[in-house]
Amino acid sequence: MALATPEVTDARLMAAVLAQRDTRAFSELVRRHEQGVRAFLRQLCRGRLDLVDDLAQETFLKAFQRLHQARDGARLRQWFNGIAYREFLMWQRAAKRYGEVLDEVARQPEALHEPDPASLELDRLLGVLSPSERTAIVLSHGGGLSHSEIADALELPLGTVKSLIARGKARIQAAFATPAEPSMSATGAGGC
Amino acid sequence: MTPMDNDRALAPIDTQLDSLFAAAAEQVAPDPALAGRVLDRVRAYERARTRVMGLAVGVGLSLMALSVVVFSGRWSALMTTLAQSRPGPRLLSWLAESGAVALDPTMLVTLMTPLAVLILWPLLSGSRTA
Repeated sequence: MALATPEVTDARLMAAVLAQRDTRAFSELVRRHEQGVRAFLRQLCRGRLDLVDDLAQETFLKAFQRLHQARDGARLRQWFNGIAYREFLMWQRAAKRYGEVLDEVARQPEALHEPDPASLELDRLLGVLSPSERTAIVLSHGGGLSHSEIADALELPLGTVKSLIARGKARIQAAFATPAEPSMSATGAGGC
Repeated sequence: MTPMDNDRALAPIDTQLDSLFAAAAEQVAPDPALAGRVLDRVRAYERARTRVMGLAVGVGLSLMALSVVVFSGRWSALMTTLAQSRPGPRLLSWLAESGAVALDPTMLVTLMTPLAVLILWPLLSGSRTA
C-alpha cells in the first residue's frame, strides 16, 4: 500500500498502526503532522528551536504509545497538539526545578530563531494577556483545540476556558483598538 | 451586551489571530528527518516493550512450571536429590544419572520450556521488530 498519497486518510493510517503496529504508517502520520505540531510548539516555546524539536519527538513517541486513545482520525492534528501541550507543561515543570541550568542554555543565541513578522505581531498581541489567557488562546487558535479539549488539557471547567478566551480577546481588542496605541513588548508567560 | 453581541464584537480579533497563527505556521519549514528520528525511537520502544513482555511471559511460565512441580508431589524428590548433589558443572551429569528428575521427560520439558521462552522470545521478537 502506498502510504504517502492523500487517498490514504489519517484514520486509515491510524487503523493500520493500531491493528498491526505498523511503524511505516505511523511514520507517514508523523510526516503529515510534524510541521503543524512544530509550529504550535514554536508558539508555546517562543522560538526555542532546539526545544521545539525535542518536544516534537517526545510528542510523537507519546502519540504512538497512546494512539488507541485517539477517538477521531479527522481531529488527529488537535490530538497531537494536546499531547504537545502536555509535553511542554512537563518540560516547564522540569525547567522550574532546574531553572538555573536551563536559563544558561536559553541564553545561547543559536538556540533561538529569528522571529518572522507574523510571530512578532502575535507576540505583540499576546503580550497584553495574562499567562492563562495566553495559553488558552494559543491552544485555541494556534493548536486548533476545541473549548472542551482545552478544558481537559488545562484541567479547568469549560466555562472558565470560555471566559478566559473571551476575556483575552477583549483585552487584545481594548489594547490595540486605537491606532495611537504603542507597541507592547512580548512579556506574557505561558512560553519557555 | 448579550453573548452573541460580544462574539460579534470580537470576530475581527478572531480573524486576525487565525490569520497570524496561520502565517506564523507557514514560516516553519518541514523537517523530513524528524519522521526518521521518531521512527528510530518508536522501534527502540517496541523492542523494549517486546522484551518486557517476553520477560513477563517467561516469569509467568516459570511460576506455572514451579507450581506444577510442587503440586505434582515431585518437589520433595527433587529437593532430596539436589541435596545429595554437589554444586558445579557435575550437576547436569548428576541429573542425568538421577532417575528422579532427569529421566522424566515431562519434568524436563516442564522445567526447560519456560527457560527457553525466557531466553529466546526477547531475542527473536527483538530482531523481528528491528
